[in-house]
Amino acid sequence: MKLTADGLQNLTILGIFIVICVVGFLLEPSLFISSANISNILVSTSSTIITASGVTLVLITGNLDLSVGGVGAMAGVLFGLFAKAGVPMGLSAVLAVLCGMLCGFLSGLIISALNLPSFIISLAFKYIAGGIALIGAGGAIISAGLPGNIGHLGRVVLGIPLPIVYAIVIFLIFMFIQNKTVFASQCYAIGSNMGAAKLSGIGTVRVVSTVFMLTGILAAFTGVVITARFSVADSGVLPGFENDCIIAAVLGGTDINGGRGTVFGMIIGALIVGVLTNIMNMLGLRIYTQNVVKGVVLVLAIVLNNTIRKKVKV
Amino acid sequence: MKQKGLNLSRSVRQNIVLLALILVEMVLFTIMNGRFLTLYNLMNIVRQNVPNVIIAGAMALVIISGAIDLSVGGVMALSAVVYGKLCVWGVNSWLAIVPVLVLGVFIGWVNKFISETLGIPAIMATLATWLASAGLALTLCQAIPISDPEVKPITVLNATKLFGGKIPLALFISVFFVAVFLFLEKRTLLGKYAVSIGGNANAAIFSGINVRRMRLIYFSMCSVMACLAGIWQVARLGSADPKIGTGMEFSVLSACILGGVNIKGGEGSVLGAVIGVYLLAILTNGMQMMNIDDFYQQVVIGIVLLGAVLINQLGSMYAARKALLTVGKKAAGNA
Repeated sequence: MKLTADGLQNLTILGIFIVICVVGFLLEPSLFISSANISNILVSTSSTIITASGVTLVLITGNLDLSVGGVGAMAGVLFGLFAKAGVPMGLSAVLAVLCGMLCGFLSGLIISALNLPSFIISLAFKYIAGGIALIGAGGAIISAGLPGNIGHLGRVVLGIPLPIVYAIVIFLIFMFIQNKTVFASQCYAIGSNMGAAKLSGIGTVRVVSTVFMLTGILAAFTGVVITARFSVADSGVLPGFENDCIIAAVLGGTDINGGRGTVFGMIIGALIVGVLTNIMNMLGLRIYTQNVVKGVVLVLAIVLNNTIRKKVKV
Repeated sequence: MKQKGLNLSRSVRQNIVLLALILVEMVLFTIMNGRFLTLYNLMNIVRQNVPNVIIAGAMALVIISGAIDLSVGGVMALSAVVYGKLCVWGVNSWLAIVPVLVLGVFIGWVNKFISETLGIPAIMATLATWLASAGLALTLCQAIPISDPEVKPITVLNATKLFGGKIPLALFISVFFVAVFLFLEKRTLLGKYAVSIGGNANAAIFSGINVRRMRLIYFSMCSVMACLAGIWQVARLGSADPKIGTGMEFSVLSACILGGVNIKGGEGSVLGAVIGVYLLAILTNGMQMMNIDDFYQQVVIGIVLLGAVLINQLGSMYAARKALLTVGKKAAGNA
């Protein structure tokens, strides 16, 4: 049986995932396998899965979105501000997500219409959105004056935390988009050869702005859910979130040069990041030491991708 | 056929516009706040922006050559902490600079190795080294700034003032490094090679330029300058703080782009980047003088960066169109 590159990639990272889980189990046998810890891993991974579903598509079109952390923080703070001002909880969430959508749409439009490098535009939006979050929360957190039902979106229903449900639903939607829609094919086409895609009549501006808009929506939604989960709107939330999303997507076999990648691979990548973070937390590594590990993982993941692509040409 | 009017190149015209903008900024802030246009404040701006200025020259060359270095913030922090640690371990505070610079060359090599040898885009490669070096800096000192008395001797750099205690040494350091980079750009092959590699890397390889070696040089220069910037921050603060590099890549990048460096490579100048640094610096300083919150400054700088990229891109699109039209007219004239 011959495997495709994507198949081999998925098998490899599944193997890595199992190895990491076994290592975690061996290190802390009783703690790692406890239901509280597993639910903890899944809830914290859910943020990455939600946003990285969009980031994967962005990477497939050959672009990069560094703004998701900033947009998430902005939406989380705006959600808190709206709710505090007396807007009904549901409407505040929608408004906050709309703001995130606007950010994503604007960055996508500028990138595609003017043919500019995505990282610099999204970096600018990261700082703009992050700045708005800081202004909104006065550089700190908003906890006083929030309505009682602010935690509604992040509560536990029938023993399952809602963030996990959101992650699964969004994952399924994006699996559908990736496998069954023309839109996804257009994304792949743009990522593999922008010029050819344009010449074959694909509206590159429309597709790229839509992809960025979707990512903006998802990032904003993540921020809203986090605010709901903790019942606090924190301006400093989601630091380094864009790195986590990119690492998850790249671990899942998404080519950083565009044109290849799967949402399914991304979910395993996100779980690897989640479990790795969990193990490092259990070992007592500080968040800054974890960054060193993440930097190394990012490079290794890209090298793994490139090696598999070279070996398997299908 | 001669063109009418002054025949200045695009980069010179751009620099003139930027200088005019600086002038406008200064007039505006002087009107709004009398304390702005004082020697003390101006020298303060110079002192605060030594790191930006010395990194900007190297960063401009890196970007012109078609790469990017996001790791400067992390490298700055790491160099400061390593320097602090070396001092605490008893190394002479001047000798300790040498190993830190070696560290800079090493990080430049790592950047080049990941991006060229492993074939990973420079953005990703330097994103990884940024994460790793910033994390390493915080790990080394357990997130606590090193402010032992052993690191204090270097603060003399910041405190020294010449010409009757008016002009700080910082001005001369800035001018020196700007001059060095202008020399490297205009009088050595570094500048020309950067433009040709950034314009078309394959063509550069075929015309016999050792692209890998040039990339190593550009990345190392950038990391070494980041290390020097880190040491300068130690001199300014009197302590090795692992957080000094936060947002550095953003402000240096913004300055370069403001100064007309094409983010896609192949276009730009060191002088433009330096002017860009001071344009941003005066803007920030003016806002501080007007007591505008730090958070607003972040948003304003983000918008300025966005505007600069847009204007640059529209400008080069316009120039390309005009060139096309001229060629067309010539062809029509010949026929």
